[in-house]
Formats: sequence, structure tokens, C-alpha cells
Amino acid sequence: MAVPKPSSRPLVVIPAWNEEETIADTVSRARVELAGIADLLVVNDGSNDRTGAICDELDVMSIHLPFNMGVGGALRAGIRFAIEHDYDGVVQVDADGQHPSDHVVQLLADLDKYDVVIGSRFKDGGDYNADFLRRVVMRYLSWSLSRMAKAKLTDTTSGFRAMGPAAMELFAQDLPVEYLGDTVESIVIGAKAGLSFHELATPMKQRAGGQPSQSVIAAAGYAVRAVFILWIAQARVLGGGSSTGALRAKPRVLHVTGAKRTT
Amino acid sequence: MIMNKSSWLWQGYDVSPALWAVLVTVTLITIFMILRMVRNGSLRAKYATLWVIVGVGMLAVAFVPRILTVIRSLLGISVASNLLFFVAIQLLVLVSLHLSREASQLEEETRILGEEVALLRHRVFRLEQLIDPESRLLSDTSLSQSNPKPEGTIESSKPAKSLDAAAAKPDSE
Repeated sequence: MAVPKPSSRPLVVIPAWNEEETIADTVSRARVELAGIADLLVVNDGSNDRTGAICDELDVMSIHLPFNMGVGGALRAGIRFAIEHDYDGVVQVDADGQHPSDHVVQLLADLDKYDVVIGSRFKDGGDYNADFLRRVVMRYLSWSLSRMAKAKLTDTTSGFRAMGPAAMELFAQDLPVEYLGDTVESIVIGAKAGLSFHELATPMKQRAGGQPSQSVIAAAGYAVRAVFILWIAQARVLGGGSSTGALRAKPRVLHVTGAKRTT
Repeated sequence: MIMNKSSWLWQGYDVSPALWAVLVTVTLITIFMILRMVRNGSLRAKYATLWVIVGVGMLAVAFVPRILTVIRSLLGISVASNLLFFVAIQLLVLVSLHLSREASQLEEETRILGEEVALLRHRVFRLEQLIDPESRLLSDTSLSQSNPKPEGTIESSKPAKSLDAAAAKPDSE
């Protein structure tokens, strides 16, 4: 497994919220599998169980958010950490850590050609494994986002993706915390900023005891929310919103003045 | 008296003295509360301005209802109270919209602060370890406010740590 050239210093970010049961496993496995490939950062997203303490015990690199922000919030904190510590690539993985390390390597390898590489569960015949309504919405999302991103995207809600320096710079400033904000909305933001996207097939073992489709109402709720989020994201002006415009510039200060490479 | 019904100011209005007294009192109390909050510093000036203007407007209408009639006929609204309701509802909608915006901004600011705290804490943690590797003065986790760390954890962490040090440690030097 050759270390990809452009991402000579990648960071794998694991957002963890109340994962005391799985985090130790995930971390020990990832740190062995990814040794020499990437550094590991656990973002403890304001857990109120022993997640943080376990991270300390494992002596894994970790940051601890003072309150729960959601995946998007944890991820942005991780990206900022990466920028501050001179990493030039970030791989976002799910907290349950079901992503095999060779997939991580594959994603990283494509970062020399693309700004964002998304690991898709559905490309190459993977099944959406959802009820009818959800399937329709997922199709619509991938059709719409593929058009925007000018790349074939089959899994728009994938929590497994790699991003290069340009994408890190963008998402360190603008990564919504809301539901689907770190997935669907971030693709819209990236596409508007002109980032290039690519998708790789990273089939996953089905999660043990994965939730089958819930009630029709829940499915409809999901559909409405997802489509609304997409539309609002599409309507948003990039870097707009006077309310946060002034704030956006701030985090860079730390980057500039911060000590280089504390690791 | 001010509310002489034949006066131009009160033309077309028939308000009982008791009701009028109530209206004026309520308005005055509102204004008094606003001013007191400004003095206390519990209401920032940018919000206070709006409410003082609203209060003065209420007071003006209470003393000179004729204002309503003039605006009403200008806009072609037939019942004065409808004008009042329209203005009041519109004002409340705008105010709550404004507050939602402020809340969004505050949330973003809070988020940035949270990130900064987490990043800085990590830095402090590392610096402390540089000075004294055994130091657990400032556990990296003690921050999580909702997560009071049990006393035993600190001791129990040591064997686990050294055990794990044998494993690959891509994240340290």
C-alpha cells in the first residue's frame, strides 16, 4: 500500500458521540490498520458517557468538544485541527468504524485528481436497502447533486469521504451542523465553490441489526426534510449571510499564528 | 381634560375614562420596564431602541387616538382596530424573525468558541505532557461538562495506557 503522494499527511477523523461501547474497538483496529498511512483523530462530540475517558486511556489523539454539535460540527472541528496541524488531507469515517483501511487508502489515492472523494455504499450494485419513498428521495438527491457536482454520485449521504487541502479550507469555514448538513448540503457547498468530486465504490457489510424501514410517516418526514435541505442549500449564496460573514475569517488567525506541527 | 370628546384629537373615539386610564397605565409600565432593563444593562441598546420606539408609539396612540384615524384613512382601512392589529402582528413577526437571526448568529459563535476551546485544550494537554508526561492535572476529558469523571478513572488509565503504547501509535511522534 503506497502512501499517496499529494496527501502525504492525511488525518482520519472519527466523530464520536456517546460511543463508549464501540470506540475502543474502532480506535484499536483503525490505529493498527492505518499505521504508516494516516494519523487518527477522535473528535469527542460532547459525549456524556465514557467516550472521552476511553480516548484518554487509549492515548489516541483526540479533541473534546464542550457540547454536542452533531456530525457536521465534529467534522469541522476535526478539519480545523487538521489545518492547524498541517495535515493536507482529511478522511471522514463513521463512528462505528466499518470502513476497511484499504478503502481509506483508495480514497486518499484519488485526492491528487479530485478535491473530494466520496466512498459510496451503492455504486457497483449496492442496494439502497430502504423503503420506496426513501429510495425515490435518494435517487433524486443523487441525480440533482451529480448534476451540480459534475460527477456521478450515487451515495449522497455517505459519511465516508476524503478531502484535499482546497476542500479542507472550504469546509473549515462552512460546514453546516444541521441534519444532512455534513453530507448533502456540503456537496452543494463544495460544488458551488468549484470543488471537483469523485466517487468510489466502497461496499460495506450491512450494519448488524440495521434498522429496517420505519413507519410511512417517518419515511415521509425524511423525504420532506431531505428535499427541503437540498433546495435551501441550493438557494443559499456561497459565503453569504451577513450574520456569519464576519465570523468566517476568524479561525484562520489561529492557523497562521499557531505553532506548526505539534504532533 | 385631555380626552375631551369634542376635541380634534379625540374625534370619532368614545373611550371610557376607566379604559383610557388602563391603556395609559399599561403603556407607561411597559416603557418603565424597558427603561429599567436598559439601566440594568440587561437589555442591550440595539434592542432597547426598538422597544422604546414601540413604547412611545403606544403612548402617542393612547393620548391622541386621532393618529390612528389619519393613518387609517390614508391606507383606506375602514376599521381603526384592524390597522392596529395589522401593525402589531407585523411588528411581532419582524421581531421574532430578527431574534431567530440573532439566535443563528449566536449558535455559530458558540460553535466557533467550542471548537477553539477543544483545539486549545488539546494544545494545553500536549504542552503539559511535554513538561511532565505523568501529569494528569488537566485530563483532556475533564472538559466535557456533562461528564463528571469518576475518580477511579485516573488511576485505571495508567495500565491501559502503557499496555496500548505497545500497539502501533501512528498519532504520536
